[in-house]
Amino acid sequence: MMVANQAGASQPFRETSSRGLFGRASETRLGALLIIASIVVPVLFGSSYWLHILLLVNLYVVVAICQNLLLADAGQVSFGQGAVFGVAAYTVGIVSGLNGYPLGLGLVAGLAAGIVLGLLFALPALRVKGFYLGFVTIAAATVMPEMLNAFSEVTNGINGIGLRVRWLRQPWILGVSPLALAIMTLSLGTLFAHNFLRRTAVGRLMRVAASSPETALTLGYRPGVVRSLAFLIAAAGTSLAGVLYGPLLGFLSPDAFHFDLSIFFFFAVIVGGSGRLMGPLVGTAILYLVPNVLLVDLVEYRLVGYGVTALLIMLLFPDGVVGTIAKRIRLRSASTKRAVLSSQPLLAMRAGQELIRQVPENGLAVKVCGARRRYGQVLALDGVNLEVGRNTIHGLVGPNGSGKTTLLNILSGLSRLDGGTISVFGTKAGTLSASDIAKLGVSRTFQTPRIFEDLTVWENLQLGLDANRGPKNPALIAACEAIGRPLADRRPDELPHAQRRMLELLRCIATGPRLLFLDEPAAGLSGEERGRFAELLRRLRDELDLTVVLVEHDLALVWKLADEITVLDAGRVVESGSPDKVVGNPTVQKLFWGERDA
Amino acid sequence: MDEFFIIVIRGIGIGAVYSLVAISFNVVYQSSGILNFAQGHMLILGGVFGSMFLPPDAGVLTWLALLIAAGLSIALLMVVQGYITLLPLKSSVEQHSWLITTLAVSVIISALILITKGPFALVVRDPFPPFRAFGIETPAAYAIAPILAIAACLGLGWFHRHTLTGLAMSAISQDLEAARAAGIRVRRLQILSFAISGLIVGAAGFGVGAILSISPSSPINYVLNGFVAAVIGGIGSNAGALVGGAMVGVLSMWAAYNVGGEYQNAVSLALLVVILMARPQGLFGRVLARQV
Amino acid sequence: MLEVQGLFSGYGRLPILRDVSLTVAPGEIVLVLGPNGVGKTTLLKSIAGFIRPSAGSVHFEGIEISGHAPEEIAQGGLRFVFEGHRVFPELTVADNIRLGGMLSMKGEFESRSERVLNLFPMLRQKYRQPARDLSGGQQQMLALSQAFVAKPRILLCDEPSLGLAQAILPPIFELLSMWASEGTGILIVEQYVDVALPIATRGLVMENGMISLQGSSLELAGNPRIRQIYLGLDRHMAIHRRYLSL
Repeated sequence: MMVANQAGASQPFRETSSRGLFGRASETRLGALLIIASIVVPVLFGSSYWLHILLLVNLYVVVAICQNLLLADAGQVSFGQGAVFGVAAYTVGIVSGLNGYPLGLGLVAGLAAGIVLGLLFALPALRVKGFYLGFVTIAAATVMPEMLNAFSEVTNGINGIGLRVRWLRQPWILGVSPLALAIMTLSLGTLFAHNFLRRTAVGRLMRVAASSPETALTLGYRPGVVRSLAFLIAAAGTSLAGVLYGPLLGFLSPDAFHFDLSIFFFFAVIVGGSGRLMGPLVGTAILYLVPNVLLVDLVEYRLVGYGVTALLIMLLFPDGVVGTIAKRIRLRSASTKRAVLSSQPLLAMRAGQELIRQVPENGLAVKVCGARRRYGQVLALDGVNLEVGRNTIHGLVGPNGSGKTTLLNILSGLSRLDGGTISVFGTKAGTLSASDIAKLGVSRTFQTPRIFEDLTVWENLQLGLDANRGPKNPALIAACEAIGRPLADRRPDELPHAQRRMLELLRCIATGPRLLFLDEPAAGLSGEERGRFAELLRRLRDELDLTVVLVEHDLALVWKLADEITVLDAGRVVESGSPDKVVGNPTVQKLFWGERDA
Repeated sequence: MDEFFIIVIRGIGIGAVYSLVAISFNVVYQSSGILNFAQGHMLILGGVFGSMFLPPDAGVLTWLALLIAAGLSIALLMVVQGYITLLPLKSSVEQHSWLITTLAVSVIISALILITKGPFALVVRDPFPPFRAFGIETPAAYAIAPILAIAACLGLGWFHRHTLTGLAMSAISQDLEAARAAGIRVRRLQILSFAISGLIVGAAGFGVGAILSISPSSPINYVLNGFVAAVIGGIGSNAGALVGGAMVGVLSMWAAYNVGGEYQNAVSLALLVVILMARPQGLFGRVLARQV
Repeated sequence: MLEVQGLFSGYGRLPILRDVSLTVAPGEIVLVLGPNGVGKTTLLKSIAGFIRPSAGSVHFEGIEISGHAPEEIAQGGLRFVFEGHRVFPELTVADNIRLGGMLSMKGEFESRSERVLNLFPMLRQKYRQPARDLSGGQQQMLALSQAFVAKPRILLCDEPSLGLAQAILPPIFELLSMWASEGTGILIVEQYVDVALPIATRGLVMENGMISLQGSSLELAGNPRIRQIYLGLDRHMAIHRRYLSL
């Protein structure tokens, strides 16, 4: 019913900028400062009450950061963190508290238990989408405390578990106890780890897999694996916080892990600003400190308070506190310099520089025999044969519904044949997944450019480099850096459409492909831009030894550009060969000219 | 043998409550794609209405009048909620804000019940005498629930096929763009669907209050079981909701008797996971649970 | 009655239409021609409110409608019939038509409903059947009937002949002619030139998101430039000159 936008805009909650006054680095530093202050200040003032509260807030912040990662970076609507937190905490209680094993063993057991549960949540995420995962995790978060009560022989039920570890709470270094030090380290570590993750290929990949699993596939990755990784990381962080909960409070009871806790973490992320590094700090502080400390007399109103807060934030400031502030700052300091993407550095490279992987000397780039594909009653492809020579530009044209996009999807692995064979550079590709085909050196673009709005222009380009599985190519990397680094703090929405198209194409080339599939690349380009685009493709074919297959509506472009053309109609090949041959075929003319058969 | 019949009769009875929640989910979902997390809370508010306004010596007519009043009150409340929930969806790219806003509303309602009525369960009297079936005496509410559920299902079916407004609402769920092109006022009908949903679930909460647990912390059980019932039947299918609800009801009754009452939710969760793994579109659903 | 000025529009950040201007007067049938992917459907959707133009204006009977919701525009008397014979599949033919005429006066609705059923007897035969049981051509007739009973003053029609057999087309185009003769202005997109040009008053040919060629239907009929545009042939390409005469 609700249609998600294409082209990387379907993710629910994100706002991740990289530089500038409220960029990642400064947010991280500010957050670290707040965390350190939250521990050091109460110690200095000797207030054990405030120290205790703020230590607890720090633990919650760790979980909230993990929730933020899961929600904004991985795009997963999961309410399971409270359950993971509780399972980790309770395992420590059971192992060390009830059964007297050493604390170290308890901590490790708690960590393991929490991670296992967290990974279990990944399973429904692999299978169904969006709100289903939300409901399943809410159900799990509801059931967990009930199970804690039910298995009272193991967990001591409602009576709870005492966990006294006095030595952890004694002042140690500069008046700070080992426990406080551990919590502060964990809190700082999680904040820095999140920032660091965003700068790595894995972090970028996570956000790509969340917005557009298709693109992740065509870059050679498996979205399911990426998603599971996100759940693993989030579970690990949450469990680390969970195991310290028992020692901090000295007591564990099932009530503390009511599913309200899971909702609290979610709201904290939203109120702070989903995707913002400092968001979880601010959100947790607002939603915990205000009702529990400042309004402690009105504890009953605590719940109303944070329900209303979450509601108002969602309606009035959907970007959250930190997000709204950051946006205002960004708007005010918006760069007036035009962002320009140039392909020059890439083309300046010569083919002899080992840009692409070695290719067997003979053989076609693509060979399709008798391809057949059915959608319900409709035969989208009915015995299509296609041969694409190496180092050529091959145009694939035909009216709407002729099967050209279907063929392209099958060639890139996003769809399967019902009959016939395809091979790419001599390798049978009919049963290969999209990510496997990508690994053969295939890259593709989409009808609407798959550009990721929450990554910078440079990061979008880096995605291509990340996905390059060939031997390390310093020349290519240098060329990409020359193109992308000047735009390291510019967002894709600052680029006009033709440049976005170019960005997607450059990303493809950065993967070091030998075969490029382009799906209606000229759509949206002006006449002049089309001319430049054609020139670029010719250069790619000549300088970089690429083979290009392009699906296009713009016949003028195709006649001028392509070395060979295949015309499809209603799933069959009408003509195939040089442009002159194809244009001269009367059936082809009738097809495009629009004469109907009597 | 007695135990078997108790499980089946009460299971179907409580299952019908879940069906009613599921049906009310469907109404809103079909017109807007939103799954209202606060649906269980609306059910419980119907029960609160009953505890507040049902006199101890009420006759059938009074009960019926109050049933309608309860439904209308909750309908009104859901119109407000609908308006709030749909508001951010109009302009922004934020297509998942409804998850937060419905959750927030549910938290607020629970909190308000806690503040005004305290943490303990309220009692609503069953105005009808218990009935005997298969030799077992069962509270009337266990029979009222299925009657209400079937009435809701049939009523909605009639509404969608024989009134112009109902046809328009049905059209929205079939082809949203074509509906807009026909001049159908989509936003208005979406709010109406919230109202209808509230009518059903508010009346249900009042009508079967005697067998509901009416407290600030119980709504989550009803919304989750209602969700499982909807998923089993296929989200969007009311007939499926009837079947799904019965399955969840009987299964959780069985769990209550054989494993323990505290395992009811765990059993429902297990059922949910099994269905989502095996057949995400449910028994009668169109393939709506998109697999990634 | 319908005035489009300087329209720029597209999908998200994908620009499709560049500076498109046209008018449709009451009783006119204006045909929009052009090869696939040139922006014909985008044009209709932008006028009907399904796409928000990024620049330019659309005026209907003097009132600016660009940026309004599609249902408001439909209520105002401008109807859009989608490509691909979209009707409500689970509802009966009768109910589909009822929904189409939701906004008209009862008497008006009855008489127009009667007229359209006379024109399309198969619809009358299948009156109580769900729309999904109809063939593609019948569904197209149904979609047009839905719009007809609403008595719109402007009709936008996207490729009504797409996917339909040649034999079914006459009654459809007869309906459109009759409709226009009663004062409705019709803007119709058709890929196949020979099919719709006979009933059109004027035609526009689009190329790369812009209008390349305009004229009365007589002027356009037999104009070789149209064929060039469709085949993507540059008018200066000497090698292809010999293909122009075909």
